[in-house]
Amino acid sequence: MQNNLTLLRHRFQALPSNQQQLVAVGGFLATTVVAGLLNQVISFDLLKLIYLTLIFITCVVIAQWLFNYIQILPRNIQIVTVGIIALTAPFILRELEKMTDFGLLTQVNRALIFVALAQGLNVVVGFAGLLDLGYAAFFAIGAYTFGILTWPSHDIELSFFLAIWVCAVVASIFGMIIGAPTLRLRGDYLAIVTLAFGEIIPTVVRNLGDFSFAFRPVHYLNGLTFIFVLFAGWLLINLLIRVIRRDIVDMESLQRDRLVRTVAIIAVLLIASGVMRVIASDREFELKSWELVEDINLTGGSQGLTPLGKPSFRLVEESFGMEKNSLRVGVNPTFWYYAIIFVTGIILVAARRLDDSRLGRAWKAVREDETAADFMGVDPIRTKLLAFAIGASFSGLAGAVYASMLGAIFPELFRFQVSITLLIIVVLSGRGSVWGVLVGGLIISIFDGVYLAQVLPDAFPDEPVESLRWVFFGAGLLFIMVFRPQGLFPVRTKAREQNQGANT
Amino acid sequence: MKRRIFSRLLTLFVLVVVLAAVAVPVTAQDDTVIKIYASWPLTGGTQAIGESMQKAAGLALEHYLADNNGEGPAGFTVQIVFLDDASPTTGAWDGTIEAENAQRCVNDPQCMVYFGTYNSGAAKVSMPITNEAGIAQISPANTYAGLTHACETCEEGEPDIYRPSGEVNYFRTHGSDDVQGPGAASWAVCLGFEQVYVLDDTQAYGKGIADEFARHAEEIGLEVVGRSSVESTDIDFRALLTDVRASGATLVYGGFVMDSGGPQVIQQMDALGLFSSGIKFMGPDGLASASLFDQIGGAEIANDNVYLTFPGPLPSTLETEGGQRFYNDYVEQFDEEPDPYSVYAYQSMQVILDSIARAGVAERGAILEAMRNTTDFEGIASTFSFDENGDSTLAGFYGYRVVDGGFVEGTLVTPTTHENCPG
Amino acid sequence: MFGMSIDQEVFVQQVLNGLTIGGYLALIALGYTMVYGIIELINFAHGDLFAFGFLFSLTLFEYFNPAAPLTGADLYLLLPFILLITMAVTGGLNVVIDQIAYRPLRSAPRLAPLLTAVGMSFALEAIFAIWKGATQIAYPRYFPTKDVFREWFDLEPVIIFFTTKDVFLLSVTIPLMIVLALFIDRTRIGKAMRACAQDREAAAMMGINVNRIISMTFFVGGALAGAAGLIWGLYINSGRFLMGFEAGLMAFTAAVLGGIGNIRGAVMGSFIIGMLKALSDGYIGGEWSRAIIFGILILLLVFRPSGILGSTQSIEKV
Repeated sequence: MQNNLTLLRHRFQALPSNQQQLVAVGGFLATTVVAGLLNQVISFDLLKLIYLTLIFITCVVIAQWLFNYIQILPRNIQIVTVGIIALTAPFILRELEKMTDFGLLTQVNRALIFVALAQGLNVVVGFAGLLDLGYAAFFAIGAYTFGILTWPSHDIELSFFLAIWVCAVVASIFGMIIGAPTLRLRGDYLAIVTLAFGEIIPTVVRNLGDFSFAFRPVHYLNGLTFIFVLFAGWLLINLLIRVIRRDIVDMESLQRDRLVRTVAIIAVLLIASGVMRVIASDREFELKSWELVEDINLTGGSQGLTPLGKPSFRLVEESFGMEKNSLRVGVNPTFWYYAIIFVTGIILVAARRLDDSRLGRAWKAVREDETAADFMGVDPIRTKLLAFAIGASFSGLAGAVYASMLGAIFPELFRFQVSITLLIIVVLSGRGSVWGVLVGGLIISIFDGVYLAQVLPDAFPDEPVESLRWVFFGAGLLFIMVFRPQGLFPVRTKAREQNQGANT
Repeated sequence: MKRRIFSRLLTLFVLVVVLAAVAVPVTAQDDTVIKIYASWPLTGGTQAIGESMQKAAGLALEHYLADNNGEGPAGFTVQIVFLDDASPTTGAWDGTIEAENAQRCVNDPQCMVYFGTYNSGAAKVSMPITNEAGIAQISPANTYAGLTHACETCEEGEPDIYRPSGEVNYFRTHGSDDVQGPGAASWAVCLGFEQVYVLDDTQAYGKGIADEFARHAEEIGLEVVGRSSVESTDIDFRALLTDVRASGATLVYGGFVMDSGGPQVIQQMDALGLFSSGIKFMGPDGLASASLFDQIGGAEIANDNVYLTFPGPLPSTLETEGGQRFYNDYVEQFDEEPDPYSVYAYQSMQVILDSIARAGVAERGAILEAMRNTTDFEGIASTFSFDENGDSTLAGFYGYRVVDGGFVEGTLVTPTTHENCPG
Repeated sequence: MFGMSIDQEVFVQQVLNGLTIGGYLALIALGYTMVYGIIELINFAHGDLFAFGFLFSLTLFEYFNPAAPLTGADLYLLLPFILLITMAVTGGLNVVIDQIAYRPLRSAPRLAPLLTAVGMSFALEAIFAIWKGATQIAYPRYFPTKDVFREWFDLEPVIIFFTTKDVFLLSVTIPLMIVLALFIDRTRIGKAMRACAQDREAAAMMGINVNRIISMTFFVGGALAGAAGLIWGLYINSGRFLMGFEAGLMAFTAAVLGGIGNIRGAVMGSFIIGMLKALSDGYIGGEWSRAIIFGILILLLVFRPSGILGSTQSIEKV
């Protein structure tokens, strides 16, 4: 049996890469169908199941081919194509939704959030090679920071557009705090410590329901304007890109950089104007608003926090004389699609830039051989800490958006299964491959959210198929691990190395 | 190269067309259909209760159609879409799934009423979503007070934080925990208990009712000798129960539902000899189900040791004509005893159908308005109206004790029961 | 009793609780530590074998359907018989898991089997949920319960409640551990296991059938977890499909605490964790126990990665 398996594996590995992918995905789906058929006893709608499975396979094939074409296309056409697909997707999906009865767009939104999270984990596991089994903790920190800042009973109610950036920063700080003790550890022990943190954080969150002697600021940031936030976001992205591109290496070059200087001045002016606006407005705003509170409910304990802030366009409404709250977005999936694609897009661009940056190369050096990297002048401590911080900030950002979209958060959201799902996405898609994690994350999350959670239960209403999803996941995981250990869409290291050789 | 791209794009186009052609026959949008999305746990620890509620809701629709010559309310075809809000990985209700269920209702133009939830914590999640969309929501089981009106132990800002639009869209046909908790405390005084140890599961419902119980207990002279919370994922409560024994309590009050640790606590109270040394257990409506006995390993453990409160008469003791019809038809059709909460699933479904009939149109706003104006409605448990908060005007609770594997002696309990004890 | 105050009795009772928790944790932790010692794999599915032992023995009891509590022949013949079958089947399941999920990946990067282990764990949990339902499962009181102090010694403790079930738990777990220690120390297979743990390739060159020894290790580890499942069932009388995950985390922490790969360390770690859990449940609050246990785990790994007793191997390998 062992020999047959080896033979099969060799034959499989001789196939061209895209056929391998097809076989792998097809095999995965075939296993689910066979398992489903074996499992069924009495009643099921076989035709419908085959129908929907075919549709699903077709979608995967289309995604595959698109992925391949886009890679051959010239760069500017690439961007236009991806842009068009990304912008028109919600309308196509809404149309499809009417036909199929499945919440497709909502699932795509969820999948995109998971892609953003997986990109963060990819920085830690894929780029830097640090095995993190408790990554959901950063997701939790991002989401809870958002919850604390926007839960109505806390009386802060920070604007969505500002809060998500705060969440990213807070998560990255926690990333460094959690990363610090693990720097000395390698391999399994690192995994255990991250797992332990991943278990501790939800426990702490559960127990911070009643928290005495805390301060709470009252209504102090409501006046900050939408434009300011956009500028702040732009500044942050620019800074990040410049840091990555090594335009900025220390404080001195930071001060020298003209763009940063200009933006900083604008930002200061805007902050000032925002503060002025707050003070000038007829809202009650006192400097003494930092009051002593006993028994504040910080995290809501096991009950979680609900409802949370949604993006509101108070300023736009006011300036165009529209009715109050007429632009509230609620659960409109199309709006959320664009909000998420914006955030995920930022994360993708950042991840792509990081991949090719000096820091990215340092991560890979540490991943391949820490001792050798240290010897070559790469500071492993700084490099690893940055990996944790940046990975966590992606996750914090995505967590905040997710919390707002869901309108609620609970400690249950951040259980071990989430960390593992993300790890599976990264490993199955191909560690270290930004585009791979994007495509793989989309396929796996949609497979989970649409096919396993909706299509199969529809086809087998009397069977506990939904509970079997981890059986399918386990089987698929094993299948891919045995036959294609590098993942479905691995990094094309060879191709890139050749290109780089030609360029220099 | 270009040619290859072109030919591939062509295949792609063909594929899309095929896909569209395959998908089109599934399309069916019908103006005469009204969908009701029901959301409560249909798997996990609460499965038995959820399934019974599902059957009862279906039976209510069946009875309505039978009474109106097969004609749906205002001529519409009513479909109930049953959604499960329990997570297959934990076996308990899950906020993410609940939010997704509510969003599915909001995003489906045919969904007119959101029917749920079972767990009060889940209602906190779905309420803001349905509220913003202006969809009527009616719960067959939530008793947490803060969902409809402010109370002493509720969170600051409740219930307005769940109503972003400022309108009331959430209703329930039974009472809430600021009557049930104090009522239970008063009843405990009547039963002769003097020291009580209060436990909860840290959830909205469990902690809410335990807080109400403890607050009122202190006021009426029932000494609270201990207060502790339990993790539903924990499986070993011996250390906690040692503490209970040391506290000198003669009664344990537990704010639990079936999937949050309640059965474990009762079972281990027996295993550790607490029941045999005379300590009793009192719980709220969340544990009032025959499935409790299966989960603790037999009714004989609960006999004479467990007291429960529930917002009304049990299915078998319903006095109204409709109630008896419900009970008899249910037993005949499904060959089992209905769960206590199936009464309220049936009654809520009656309210929904009545509201659609009175609204006359398939519009969310009109149906919500009609539901808000429900007055003197003759349900199977009682006749009631909705007040301005969405609460039922009839908010009584009954205390039951477990004898011979059944709930008996339903006595009306109110926060002032201790002043004039029954029997 | 013995002139103790109530507070002292509470303390004694909590220590007894800790001892019994340590007892069943040790049986689970041994499986973790043995497998890790040989193939350096954190077998995440191991905790679920504990749940399997619980569910499987319950099924066996339901099949034979003896009257609860057990008496006479049922107690002295049927119970040991069911214990043995449960151990054998759970051990066998562990071997099958190894064959399916880990053996094909023996030469793959370390991350691969770790992930399939997690996948296997979730798959097992899902199957358990379908098998017996995702509810609280009652395990009938088969083991006769007698209050040791009150009924045997005529003492009148106020708090302390120590029954024949506690005696049973300790009198099964401790001999099992001793047998295991002897097995590894004295027998040929035990010697081969130690050789494989030290250096698999060298052991293979010495003519040891490494694959057989690995299967053997999985079998013994699984059998102990199965025994723990049955003992838990008789002792606590209830469980859930997720109980393996919880207990597995605790047992795994215990194994790391004692120095993963070290048999005696795992037993010691389990009793320490059991005591910690009982005392923290009793004196700090059950809701913090997890945080405390994992906090200690982190501190320990950061400052003394080899655990209290140290690993049998050099740390560089880890």
